[in-house]
Amino acid sequence: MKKEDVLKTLHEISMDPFPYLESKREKGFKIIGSPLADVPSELIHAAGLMPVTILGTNRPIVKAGGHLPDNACSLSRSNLELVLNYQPRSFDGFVFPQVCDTTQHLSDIWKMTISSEFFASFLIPRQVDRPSARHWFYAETRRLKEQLEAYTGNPFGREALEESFSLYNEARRLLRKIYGIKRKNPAALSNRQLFDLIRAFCYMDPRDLIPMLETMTENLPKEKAEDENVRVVLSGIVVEPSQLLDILDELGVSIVGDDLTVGTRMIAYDVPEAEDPLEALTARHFDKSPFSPIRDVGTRLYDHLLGLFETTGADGIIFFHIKFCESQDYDLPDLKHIMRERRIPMIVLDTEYQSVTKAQTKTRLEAFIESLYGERENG
Amino acid sequence: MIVAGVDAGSLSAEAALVDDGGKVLAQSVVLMGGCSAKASEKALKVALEEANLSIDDLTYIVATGCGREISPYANARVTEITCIARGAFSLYPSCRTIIDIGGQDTKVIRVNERGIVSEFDMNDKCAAGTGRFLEVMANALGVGLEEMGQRSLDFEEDLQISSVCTVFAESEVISLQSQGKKVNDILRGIHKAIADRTVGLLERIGVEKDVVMTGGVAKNIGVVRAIEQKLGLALLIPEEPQTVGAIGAAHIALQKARSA
Ligand code: SF4
Repeated sequence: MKKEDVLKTLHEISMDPFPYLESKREKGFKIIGSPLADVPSELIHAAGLMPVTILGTNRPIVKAGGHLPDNACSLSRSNLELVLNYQPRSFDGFVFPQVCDTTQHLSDIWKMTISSEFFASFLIPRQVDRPSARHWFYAETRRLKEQLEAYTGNPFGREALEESFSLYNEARRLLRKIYGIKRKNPAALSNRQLFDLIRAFCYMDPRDLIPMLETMTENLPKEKAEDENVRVVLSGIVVEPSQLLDILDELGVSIVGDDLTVGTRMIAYDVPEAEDPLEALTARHFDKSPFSPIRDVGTRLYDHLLGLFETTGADGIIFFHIKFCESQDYDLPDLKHIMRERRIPMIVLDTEYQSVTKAQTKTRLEAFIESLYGERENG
Repeated sequence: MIVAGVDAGSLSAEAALVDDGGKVLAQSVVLMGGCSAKASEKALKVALEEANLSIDDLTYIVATGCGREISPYANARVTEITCIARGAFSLYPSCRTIIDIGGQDTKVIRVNERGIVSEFDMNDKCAAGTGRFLEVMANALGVGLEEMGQRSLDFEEDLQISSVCTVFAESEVISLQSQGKKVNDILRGIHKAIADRTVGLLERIGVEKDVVMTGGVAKNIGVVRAIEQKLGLALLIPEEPQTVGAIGAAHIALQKARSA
């Protein structure tokens, strides 16, 4: 496969993974979906199943409104809509993480409204600085393993787990390498293309993805070639609608870093080596950078973003706020205050899965980018 | 060197011509909206006629407003947020906060001491509390748009309008009228509701003096006073608040022409 073909294929999968997933199913894999965030895909993969991160739909909300309150976050509404309405037969089972109040309620609603062969809840401790959090996560991981074994009828052990660890670690390593190339040479691939690869990672078996990523790393320019674009850090959970990335490309913006859950947070943290594979998964979880619902009570979330802004030498921060995300809603007043105090340019963009072509969103982004260029010219 | 800024807005289009000293030579407001190419062309034509110039005399044109992408003749396109900020700062270098209420949206902008936008927010989801909203209210009350402001200053009863949603407020206003409430009092209630909403938006970005108000609604003294009362400070209002975006666009055109 040529680099261009890889990019085209992965773009298509990132926009609509279901033909690919159907082909996996024809090969005998059961498709297990999980909304964001932090369900250990490696564990599901080691059970011989096909883990998929569910990333919602941009198509109209028709059925989900009947099951969720109007102020449920756009991500949850579009996840439920996707599975209830648009892809009712594409999944065999679900592992449902509970990371916030919305996912906690959605988990029950999901279980009651969507029939599937398999359903497991995965309860993630929200305050990661408590010593009990580790025990909790470890116990949940073990419980999930047992449930998966009961579902497939096939107990699996260290060997299968380590194989999955190394496959996912390798896919992540390659994605990080590509991100690094883009950072050094922003023109090497567009913002949209970079995030297509990360989305594809959410949807694909690393056995299929790795050869494609290898083609990419072999064929991308390695030399440093900085451009004149303004440099931004993206912050938040997910950039949706993904067309926003096209707008960033159009506006002449280079992404130099991010703390997105569907972004760096997904590819930065490998499973380390450990005697006990479940302990390895636990250690990886607590290595991860904080995100809105999962964090300690202190300022780690903000410190992490400030650190990223400084180390990348960015000109500004674009924060993607998912409409009605309760976790982000509570973080934003503090975050804005901190950035204002330090005079760090940041824009908070309210996003909704269903508003794909909003001229106003583009105007906001454009005005922010103009102010960054203005700072440069007059600074 | 003469340059132009053209602002194609939702209810009107404006143009401004500026010489290389930054002096405004001519400006125009045409009541043609829809963010259209035609409106921006017309605004430019009127300004050129006023200055006795032709399009060939212009070195550079910057288009702004919701019709910027389709404005003819433009050498560059810049958002209205940047242009309004630049325009307001060029008129009042002491300005740090700008309130712009136009035909269909409300913007609040903070600028730093160099006139660069440091933060902004906008209500662009509906026409609540904007020029379009005032038009509908004027119609419902049978009052001319230009007399609304002045009349509302002459009030007796302190009325509360609870919604600035164009549809709900219209029925609220009609029901107040049928209760025999005075038009001037209702007008004041409407202006206070707009002020509440505007100050709510301002809270998100913070207020720093001096505060300039621009856009067509700045011509409504009732809204201006209501905002001033809520903020506890006097607003600076340009002589022609509607052309500030076009003037800002022209200043940006000047800068671009110089560096081209
Ligand atoms: S963290 Fe926010 S976006 Fe994620 S499920 Fe909870 S409310 Fe929705």
